[in-house]
Amino acid sequence: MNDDLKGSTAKLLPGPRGGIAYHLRKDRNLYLFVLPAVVFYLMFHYAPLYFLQIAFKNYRITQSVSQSPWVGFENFRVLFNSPGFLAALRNTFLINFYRLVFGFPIPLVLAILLNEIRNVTYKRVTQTIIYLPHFISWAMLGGILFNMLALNGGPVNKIIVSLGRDPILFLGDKRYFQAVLVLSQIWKESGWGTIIFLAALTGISPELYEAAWMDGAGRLRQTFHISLPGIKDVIIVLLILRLGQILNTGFEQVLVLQNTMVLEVGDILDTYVYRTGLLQARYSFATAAGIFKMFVAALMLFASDRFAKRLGERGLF
Amino acid sequence: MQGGKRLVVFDVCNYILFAFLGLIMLYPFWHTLVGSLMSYEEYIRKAIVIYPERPTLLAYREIVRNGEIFTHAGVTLFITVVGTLSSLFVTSWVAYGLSKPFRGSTTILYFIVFTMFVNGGLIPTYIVYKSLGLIDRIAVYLLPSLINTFNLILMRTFYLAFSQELEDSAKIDGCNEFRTYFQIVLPLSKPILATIGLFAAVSFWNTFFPSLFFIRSVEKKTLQEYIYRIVSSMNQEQAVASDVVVPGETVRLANIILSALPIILVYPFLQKYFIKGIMIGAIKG
Repeated sequence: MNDDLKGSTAKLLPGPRGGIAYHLRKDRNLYLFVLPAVVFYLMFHYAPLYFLQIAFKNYRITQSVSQSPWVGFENFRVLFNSPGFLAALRNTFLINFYRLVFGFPIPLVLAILLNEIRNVTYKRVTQTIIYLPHFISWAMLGGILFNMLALNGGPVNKIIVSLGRDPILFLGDKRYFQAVLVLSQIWKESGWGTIIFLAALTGISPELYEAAWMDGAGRLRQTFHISLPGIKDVIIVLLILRLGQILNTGFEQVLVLQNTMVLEVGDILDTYVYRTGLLQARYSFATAAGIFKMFVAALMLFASDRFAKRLGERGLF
Repeated sequence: MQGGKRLVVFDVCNYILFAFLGLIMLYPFWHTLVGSLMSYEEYIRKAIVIYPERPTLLAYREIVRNGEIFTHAGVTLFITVVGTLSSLFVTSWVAYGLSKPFRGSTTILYFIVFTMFVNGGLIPTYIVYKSLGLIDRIAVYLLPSLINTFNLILMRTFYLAFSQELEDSAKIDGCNEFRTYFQIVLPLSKPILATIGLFAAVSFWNTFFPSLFFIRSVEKKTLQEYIYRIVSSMNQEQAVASDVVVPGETVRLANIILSALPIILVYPFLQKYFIKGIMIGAIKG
């Protein structure tokens, strides 16, 4: 029993065995380890929650929060009636939906394929290369994209022109902008996304594969009957987490890549709030939008978790 | 997976696929690098950029002459070094504590993980920072990033798997938790520290948001926001479908190369560390 190691001190401590005082004394060093974290999270993560009330007030930067008058749901009413808001909301859902449909399976497929590579060196070199895009920022990638997709100097358009067609202003064209957003993000994050699936794949017992091989199953069938079910839990958890993020991703990317010509399709909630709320100092308005986002995200999280459980899977909670 | 030792058509295709993917991942970097080494005329002239006919450091000289990049690089370098070290220390300190069973450790864990799902949003965070006096101070890059919940969980998982015998023998020798931590646990944590350290360093190097929202003085802005300004100043012309690629295109590329250089240089060497680290964290977690 671990207690015995400190048995002598324990007998001298005040309070009944098992009481709070007892534990506080026994593990007081450990509490010191954890105390900075508690303070930290209280200060930086929980304290802001107190100020969420701004969304229900008319907050001016010159006054303190308690001085600002209550306005109930007025900010939300304004928000829902704002012209750009609905477009931004729609775009956010749409773009993230595309990202999910196209972007979620790709790391999974790549991981499975990667798992098949026998030559260790080849595998390692490939992994090194495909992880690289994850590490540069969107500001940098945006710059690279501007160059590569440029109307006159960019290689992509030069290829298009040499094939006899008209050059496309990708970043200024409403028809292509969302595709650029989704594809560039896939380029950036797919390689990195394979890591967690690869890790899960290594957790599958090799005996399962051997048994299947003995029974005559080819590699394809092994994939579908062993690999995929083996990492099912991980896939589901990741999927649920992604769905919960449905309103969240992509601020830096969209901010860097968007311009006035594509706002109608390229504005997401975050950039909309940034532009109208922050740059115009409409803080209550911006906070209301933030609350709305959180609300929808929580909804999606719980809904997809329920759905997963309904299908018989473990889910997140 | 079992499949015999023969190299099948599938395998060949697989190898080709990843070679192709590797090319796609690398080409934009190559293009940027080579483009930055060209003269402006040559850049417009050529189709696919493979190598510069007449390599020149013109673009880089322009940047150095202007000099602004150094201010921002300095800021970013400072917060990367200081931020990574401080964050590593605090995070591992807390993670170690959390990996020990004690009354309330689970509660505190939930308390922390909960913040991953709920946060105050931008404005409330801004207000908190303002009341703490962090606005427009370098500390705003460092203080709120001291503990990253995800990294905390990873480290805790690592410490959970830590050999109990080592710690027990230390305790028998009379070490309290602090000495155990500093003299035994910490030196043995090198792999996870390297992993988390790399994540943290990259994250600090790429700092953009705080610079945009919480910092007003230009000289305190980070490298990434500087790049963003350079890049977006061209954006307007791009969007208006100008006939001419704005002069300085190569300069823009050179800026990007310079800011990405540290990452790209360091990256291959440290890659093996963080793969291991993620594997540990992911499997057990």
